[in-house]
Amino acid sequence: MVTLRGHFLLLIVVFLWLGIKDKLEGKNWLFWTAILTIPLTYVASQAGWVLTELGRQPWVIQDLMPTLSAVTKIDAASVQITFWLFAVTFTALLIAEIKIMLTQIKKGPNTGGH
Amino acid sequence: MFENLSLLALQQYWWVIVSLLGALLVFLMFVQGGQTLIFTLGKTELEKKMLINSMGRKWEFTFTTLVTFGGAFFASFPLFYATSFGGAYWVWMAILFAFVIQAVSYEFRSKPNNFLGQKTFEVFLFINGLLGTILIGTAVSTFFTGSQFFVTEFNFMEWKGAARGLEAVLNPHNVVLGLAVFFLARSLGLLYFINDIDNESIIPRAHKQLWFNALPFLFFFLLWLIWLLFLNGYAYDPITKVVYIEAYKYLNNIFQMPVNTIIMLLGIILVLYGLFIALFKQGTKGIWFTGLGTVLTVFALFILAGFNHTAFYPSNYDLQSSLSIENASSSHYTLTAMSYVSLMIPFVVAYIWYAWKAINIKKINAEEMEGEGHAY
Repeated sequence: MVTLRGHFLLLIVVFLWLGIKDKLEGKNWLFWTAILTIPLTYVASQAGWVLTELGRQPWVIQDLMPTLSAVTKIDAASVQITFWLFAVTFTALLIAEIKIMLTQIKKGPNTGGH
Repeated sequence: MFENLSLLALQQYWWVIVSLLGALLVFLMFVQGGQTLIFTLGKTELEKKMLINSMGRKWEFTFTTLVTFGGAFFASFPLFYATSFGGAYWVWMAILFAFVIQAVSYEFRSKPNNFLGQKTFEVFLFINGLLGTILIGTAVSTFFTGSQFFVTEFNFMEWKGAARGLEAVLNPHNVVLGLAVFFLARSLGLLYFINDIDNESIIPRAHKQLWFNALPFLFFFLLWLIWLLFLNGYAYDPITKVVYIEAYKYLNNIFQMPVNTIIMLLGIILVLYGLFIALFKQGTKGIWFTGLGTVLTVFALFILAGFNHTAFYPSNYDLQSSLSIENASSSHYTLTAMSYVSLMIPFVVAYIWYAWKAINIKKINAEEMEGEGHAY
């Protein structure tokens, strides 16, 4: 996460510098780096969450409230049903979003759209 | 400034804020009401598009107010959050799910190749309008009728209800409020359409439908309110904090909080006046009177639930587990910090007013829907 943060900052500075100098044209290696950086933002975000949520264990509030006492007394089946309900819903919505975006990309920026 | 206030004063301040946000939410649920009328008022694709865009430009106001109401409530009264959301798990999950499908429906409905099809997203909007209003109304009614839970001295909560919150629908008093909120939302939606849409087919239909929604709303709301006044309520002793049953508690609150009662009566009069001018004078400004009246009435009902040593989240399984603003709140420090942030509220209100005015500068009409601009 910290390493990626350095990469993001460096990339921003490079883009900013070249943009001000008007030297961005033809730098395909830079554009490809930017595109490949997109999934890295999700990796960094998830890494941060894993760090926070694992690092806090066994406390919800350090020295005051352990995780065990914060957990709702609810049966596992209810949580599993909720999980699958949201998994199915968000998968359907992901498929919808991808199809919509691909259709818009094929249309291009100057034909219809919003 | 706020740090010099007593804990009780801060608790009362935050209950007032939560009540106001809840009241604004109920008014803004005209969006949900309007969504349940898409198929009734819209007989052609163009008419449906006008209705959906009328609601579409306001759906984010309702959504953000719902989140703000919930967030403020949970931060200022975290024991309510822990008890109700952990305990009445399924009713809140159902409400959450209903609102998830609303958001995506506006964004995906009119996009080509949206996988589920336009009709599916329109049905999602209907489901959000139906379930969102009825379940929220039913859940809020439990503030008065009680729920089945037990809170230990360490604030561990055990929910004793059979269906994790959904058992609230087995109490007819709760269902009556749910239906009142449903028909109120539809009435407000109709009044909003009458004010916001310029179309010779939709507006007469909306006027006609207002009869079929305003009358049931008035019936269910008055039934719920009169029933409430005869209900035993959950009071607590201000010194010992012991909770006890008090006969006609909410009727007593009506008499013992006259300012709040005046606010409620004023609200009810405004609601009726707005409906009157739309039904009998074919007026287009009814939404503002009924809307303001809704805010005042719901605000007063929340105050009725939480002030005057009333347990706002009573437990009819174990009386002493009932939650009040005094035993469910955050610490003095937390409420003080939050109170300083609450000073931003006037700026937020001003921005909302400005954005609303800018969006509504022109009525929705067929030409705009057929034009090149953004449409849902």
